[in-house]
Amino acid sequence: MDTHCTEQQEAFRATLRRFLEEKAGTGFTRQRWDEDEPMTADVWQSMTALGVTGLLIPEQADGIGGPMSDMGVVMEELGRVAHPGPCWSSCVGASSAAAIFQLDTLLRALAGGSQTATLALEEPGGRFTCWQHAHLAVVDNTLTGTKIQVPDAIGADHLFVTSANGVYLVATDAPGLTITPTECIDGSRRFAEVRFENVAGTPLGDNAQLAPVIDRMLVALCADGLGAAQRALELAVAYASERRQFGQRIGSFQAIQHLCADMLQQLELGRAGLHYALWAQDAGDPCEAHRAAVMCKAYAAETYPQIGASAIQIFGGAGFTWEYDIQLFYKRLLSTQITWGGSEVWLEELAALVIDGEAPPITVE
Amino acid sequence: MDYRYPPDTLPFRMEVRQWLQHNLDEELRGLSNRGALNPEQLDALRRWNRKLADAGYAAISWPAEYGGRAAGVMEQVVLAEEMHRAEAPAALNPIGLANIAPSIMAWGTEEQKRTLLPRMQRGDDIWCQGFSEPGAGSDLASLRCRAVLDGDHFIVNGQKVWNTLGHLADYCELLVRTDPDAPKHQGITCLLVDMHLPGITVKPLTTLTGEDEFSEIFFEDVRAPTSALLGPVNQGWQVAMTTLSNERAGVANLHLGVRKKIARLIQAAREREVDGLPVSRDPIARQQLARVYLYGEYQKALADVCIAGELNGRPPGAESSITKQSWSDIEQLIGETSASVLGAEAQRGDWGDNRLYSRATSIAGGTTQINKNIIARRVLGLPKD
Ligand SMILES: Cc1cc2nc3c(=O)[nH]c(=O)nc-3n(C[C@H](O)[C@H](O)[C@H](O)COP(=O)(O)OP(=O)(O)OC[C@H]3O[C@@H](n4cnc5c(N)ncnc54)[C@H](O)[C@@H]3O)c2cc1C
Repeated sequence: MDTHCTEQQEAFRATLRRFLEEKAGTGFTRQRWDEDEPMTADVWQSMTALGVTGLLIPEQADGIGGPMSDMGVVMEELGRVAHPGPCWSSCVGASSAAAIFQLDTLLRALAGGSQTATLALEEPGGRFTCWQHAHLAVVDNTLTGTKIQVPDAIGADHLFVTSANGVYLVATDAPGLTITPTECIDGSRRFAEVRFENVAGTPLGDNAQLAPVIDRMLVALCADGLGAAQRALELAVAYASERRQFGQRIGSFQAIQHLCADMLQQLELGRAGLHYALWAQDAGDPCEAHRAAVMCKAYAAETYPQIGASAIQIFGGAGFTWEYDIQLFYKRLLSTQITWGGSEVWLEELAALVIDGEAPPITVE
Repeated sequence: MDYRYPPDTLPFRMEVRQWLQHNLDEELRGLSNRGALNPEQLDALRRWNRKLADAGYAAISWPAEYGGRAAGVMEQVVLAEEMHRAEAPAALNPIGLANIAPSIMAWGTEEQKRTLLPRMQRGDDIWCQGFSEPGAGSDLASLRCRAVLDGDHFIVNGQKVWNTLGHLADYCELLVRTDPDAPKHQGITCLLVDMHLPGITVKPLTTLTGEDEFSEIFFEDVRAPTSALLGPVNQGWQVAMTTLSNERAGVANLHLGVRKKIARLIQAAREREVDGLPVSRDPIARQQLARVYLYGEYQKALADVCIAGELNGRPPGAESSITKQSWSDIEQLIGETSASVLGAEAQRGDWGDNRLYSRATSIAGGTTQINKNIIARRVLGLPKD
């Protein structure tokens, strides 16, 4: 039993962190902030070389066949720099989906970094609805309708689209498909509206087959959030240890100290739950994996924005400027909260599991 | 990463489970070790304690020479889980076993260890902790209860307060001031005082739940022999720190009680109807219940991090510093959730008591504010000035 990352995982983390600090730190995030395409070719190539794009892809499709706990390390590190690339949507989401539907050619392209793909789930007019309530109309494998909040759609080569008839694979250059960027206060993430006007798709299977993919994506999103929250706390503590007012460092004021202690508590509780959820994705029991993923997202949505907000408060006026990085992390945590449903959505899902059903406790006692 | 308990814990779990099946009498199930304890309860708990001690389960973490099994963290966790599962009553000497005994082992003379520990383990002697005073709570080091050496005795004068089990105690781990001129942390001494000595008066102090659970202790020219000394004179602060430093297995088990209560609360919400519908169907109640469930499960995940840390030989990290506090937050969240989910039912019986008692969790054993001061300075390294 060990809830910590292994030595190899820590070594992987150190390599990633070095790369990101040197080549794609918050300066890179700022540089991409207003661009439609989040990525540059050279950074993406480096991500491929580091093994990020192939991490979850099976070895027989040129991937690494790694576990979600490794991907958790990647996502935490990406969150620490509010990384703008399509790792979450493509390296976690589409890669897992392509593996489930055994799309060998796509898997190879994703692993090699030559293509990216994403999932189009949400539809207008409701809360985040997951796979259960996709209404997009399909006639003769031709799709018509609208998907919203599609992550990283601009730049992606393929979409996994849920519909009333199940999941379809759609090429983004297919005739009849239009992608319009959606405004988001967090410029480190990209979302788009995708309209389908008689767009040809390839049927893949039931929407429900995406369930484990969605669980993985929820957990990965929270790992990214944990990294961002951790960085926000670090920056706040560093600032509080330097900034002086009334002749003393503001970090010596108890009001500031207790804010930081609260942030640490929220963060460490989140880390414990996150690592449990990562492990549960790999451990093989789908019920436990789902419950852990749901708890993870409900917790992150509820507490991580508070960590970001407290950090802004500790920076005072400087926290309200564009110049200081703390704003990047606050915004990252706000989009972590909202993306694919806030805490109301996932607390209700948790209620369905543990009040209506009889979910088991974490370990069998 | 692995959240599964090591498989070699299973035989011990089965051994304990079977032992409990054969030895835990029905009338003992669910018996509380809290509150005033009438003579029958006290008697029942004492008998239970002896049974546990005879079977070697009363203090498994202790070394074998003092009647323990030198059990590691995993066995301690498994034993606590099985005790909870069987609804076995908690030990009669909770503070003694978990806090005072480690200090005696670390600082005591052979004589003290041999005579005091076995009786504590069996519940033959009940122990209380005499630290807090009316003027010295969070600022414990400012304590004023005096002890003056007179030949081979200390003469003790002063007052202690909020002493859990004080009215039943046979012994007290007492902090006294022996050098009033030294800086406040350096003039304190620890004594293991026989509570039956002349000059000691114990007055029950009623808690806000209406029980005589703790007390005030008055010392008037009490003559305690120098053999009562624990550790060197004027090093009582270091002794006290041994007592207050939480051992990880204890903290790691805090989730057991809260998760049981949460399961009960969810069950109560399924059974209670409002406007012809179970409360568990109400959208607001569902959010609140799911939230409290989530925090209970996360307390368990945090406990797993603490356990794994000890199993893998890591020094305690940030996780152990927040465990007591997050536990206290959940206890209080359960109280608030019970009120909104159960309405007037939360005003009475166990739920009412539970809600009131949850306030103690952020005060006893060091307040939440003091804990945050410590986290800010020691874990986060924030500056002093
Ligand atoms: C159920 C229960 C059982 C107990 N059992 C025992 C026992 O067996 N033996 C024993 O010796 N004691 C016992 N206590 C006493 C307990 O240890 C003290 O109550 C506790 O340490 C707080 O001290 P105080 O009550 O004097 O509060 P105070 O120290 O007066 O604190 C009052 C308020 O001020 C805050 N405060 C104080 N100092 C600071 C600071 N530096 N920064 C920020 N805020 C601060 C506190 O957080 C608190 O909110 C028990 C208490 C309870 C409730």
